[in-house]
Amino acid sequence: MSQYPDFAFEINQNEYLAEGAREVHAVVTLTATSATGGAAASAYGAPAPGAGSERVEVIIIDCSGSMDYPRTKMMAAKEATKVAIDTLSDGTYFAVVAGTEGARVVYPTGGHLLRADYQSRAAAKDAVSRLHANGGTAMGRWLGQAGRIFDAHPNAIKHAILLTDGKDESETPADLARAIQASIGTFTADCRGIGEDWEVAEVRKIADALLGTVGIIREPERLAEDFREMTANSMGKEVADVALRLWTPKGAVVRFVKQVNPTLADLTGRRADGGNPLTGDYPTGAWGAESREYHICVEVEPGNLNTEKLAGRVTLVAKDSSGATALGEGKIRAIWTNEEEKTGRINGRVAHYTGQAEMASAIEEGAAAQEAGDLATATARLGRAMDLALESGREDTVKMLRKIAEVDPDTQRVLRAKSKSDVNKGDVMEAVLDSTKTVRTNKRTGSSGS
Amino acid sequence: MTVGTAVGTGPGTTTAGQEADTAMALQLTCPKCGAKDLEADQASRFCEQCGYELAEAVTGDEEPGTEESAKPCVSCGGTGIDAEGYCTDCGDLQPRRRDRMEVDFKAVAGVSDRGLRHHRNEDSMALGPAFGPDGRTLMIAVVCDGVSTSERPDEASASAVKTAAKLLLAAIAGGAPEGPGRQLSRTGPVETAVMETVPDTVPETVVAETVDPEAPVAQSVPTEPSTAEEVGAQTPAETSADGAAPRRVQRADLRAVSRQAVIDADHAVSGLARDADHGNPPACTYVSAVVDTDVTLAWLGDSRAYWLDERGTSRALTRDDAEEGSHAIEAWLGADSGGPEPHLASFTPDGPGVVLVCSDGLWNYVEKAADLAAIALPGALTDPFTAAKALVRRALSDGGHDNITAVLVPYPVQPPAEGVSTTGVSRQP
Repeated sequence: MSQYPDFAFEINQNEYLAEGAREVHAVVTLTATSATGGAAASAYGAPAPGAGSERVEVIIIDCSGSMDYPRTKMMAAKEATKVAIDTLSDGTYFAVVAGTEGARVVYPTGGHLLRADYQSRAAAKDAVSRLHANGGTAMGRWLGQAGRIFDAHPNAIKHAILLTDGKDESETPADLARAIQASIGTFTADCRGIGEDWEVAEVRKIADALLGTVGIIREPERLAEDFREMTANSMGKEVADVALRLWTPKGAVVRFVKQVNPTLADLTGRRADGGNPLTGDYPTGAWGAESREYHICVEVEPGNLNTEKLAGRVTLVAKDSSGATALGEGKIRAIWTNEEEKTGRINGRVAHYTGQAEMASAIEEGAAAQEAGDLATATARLGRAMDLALESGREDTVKMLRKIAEVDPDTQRVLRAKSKSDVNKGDVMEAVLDSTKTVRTNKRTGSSGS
Repeated sequence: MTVGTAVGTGPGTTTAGQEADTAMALQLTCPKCGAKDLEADQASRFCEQCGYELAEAVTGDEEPGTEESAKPCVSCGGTGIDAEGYCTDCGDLQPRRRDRMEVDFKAVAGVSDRGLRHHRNEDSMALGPAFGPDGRTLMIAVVCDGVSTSERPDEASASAVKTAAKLLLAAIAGGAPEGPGRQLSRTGPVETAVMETVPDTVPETVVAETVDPEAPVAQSVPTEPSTAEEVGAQTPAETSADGAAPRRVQRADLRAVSRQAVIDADHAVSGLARDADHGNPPACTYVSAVVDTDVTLAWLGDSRAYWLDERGTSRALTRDDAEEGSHAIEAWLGADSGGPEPHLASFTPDGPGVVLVCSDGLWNYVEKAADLAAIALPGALTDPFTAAKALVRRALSDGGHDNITAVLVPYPVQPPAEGVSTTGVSRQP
């Protein structure tokens, strides 16, 4: 039995380029199937990496004073944390951190982590019940505390859940940035904001760096289900640290490497040394049985007509104590031709995700312009976003855009952006956050490969 | 679909083949031990009974000898070339063997070229001498052209030519199986008994050749309308008990053999289909020529055979499965071919000449048989390799829009030169 999930590798692209063209696009679809088949590895003996490896889950709950306004936020946070504790797989090491201007470990209190079982769960839930809201917000310190907890288990699959309701007021932005930087590569984190008084951009910085998601909880009673889902998802991970290793030819420029499904995440700036000067590693975090897609764009020196160049070789590698294990590989090709019938084909997946990414940035830019009072820009950007949402059949997004822009009832097209005073802040936050979730497409016209 | 079309008129005679019963697979006889259950599909390499090694025709796509050292990258001079042929520095794909394949047996030769507009060569060829049970030499030539709108057409054509050639070689070497129904009742043609000198190891065999230069097609025969059918050995030696001694041999029915080669090739190409082919499984055209004292042809699609001579009777021997002037072929090999019945024809030349087997990359530029003959002859009679190169060069200089393949078989068949016959010569550009 392999210690890692099996990865299926598919590359969709139109490899045919017109004479002189430099940009090569490809969408890589990675689908992992469980290596364990659901059977948990023995709890005895040395834990192997991958299947049956240690897990550590740290739940960070904002306990700043504002969590009591309204009181339902704190109540929901306690309830959701208990649900998360109940969702942990038996044997998972876990901790609960109360976040204020400091970060107090409320469970366990003895200084070292305990595995989840009947007793430890009961004790942890008891500690959670006694949480109360009082203090400030310093998310950098929360991350630092989580990092110290994880340090005792360097080879485990490490994940944090972070809940906040406000801005990072009790430290400087530089403090937060340093803490984020120190956390990169040591654990992954999903972040949630409850209410409307937190900053999407601030929390997104944390989640993007730690390869996790951001969500808004507008109705406190929905928090528990969200925590249950995040925890279950974390428990499904089988390999802690997987990277896309991209080889590109000498002289090529990697324009971008983005995760495009299930959510958008730009990995371009996250490149790390991949073993030789032509190779870079882009982190993708932990994997369970799941499927994700990545859009890669490489700029190469154009070749002669009717010649072929390897524009990229993508290898999926699991990083572990013994180095890197290759889990699959695919090629990004470039063939220059004058046959317009071939160069003119647009690959369905590349086009789809190009559209989804453009829609997301149009919503973000439109919302920012709306906030700044620049209604002309806001109208143009939200209008473009609406066109793309309609085109890709995103009905939820259409509904969200209708809340922040005036829309022609017949054509559904945006007439003008509403002014800041006419929109609910939560509606804007929701639209911005939702835009980074993408839908899949089955279109694959004009492609080949795998 | 047109079937069994008679093509061409002239001093030689071409006849339509009547399609054999599709359900009846050809039974192959092992040339060495006489076992009747010889298999010559893609996977088979030996006779199950005696270990006789099945012959493979030469395609020009063979692995180069080990003495050939790795070449530096043609673009950047880098020395790292990965297993798939890409430079590990600049990523450029190195020229592939299939970009230009050349095979020269002296007595038969072929050239296949990627052309100027396609990024890979999707044509394939297989050629070489075939040896009958009576020791005589025949020549076989197979050309397939991958359908460019299908997935992996290059694999389709490669698989088709290899499979077909293997069957042809095995069936010709093993001879026709004995059995009822293979006998030749014919009316019309005059049979002339000829005594042939045959190698010592094979008993003297009486071969009856039929020659019927004048009979119009329509008047030749209802059931077995081949004017050039070989009548098998009618008075063979007794089969001896130990099996090592001469046994009854009968020369293969080249029409049935040619047909079976197409069917096997169709199965082989169909086997390449995968779920991920998006409804376009690998596919290719087919044309084969088996040149003995007569010429037996089989084809599907728009790859062609021509007869070229210097007596003004050059002509096409095949008729395309396509609307005239269209490149949309109506019959092909592959998983979506529907098990097509190949066209069969045979033809007895009335003098020296050359059989050209080619893909449309050639005849798109030079379509008239007389024009092809003007390029190839008289050189092709004695040096078919140089003539094949000249034909390909002409298509390249006229634009080379498609892959180009030309195989030339001089007639009458020459025994291959000593030492060359078994290997052929495959040269890299």
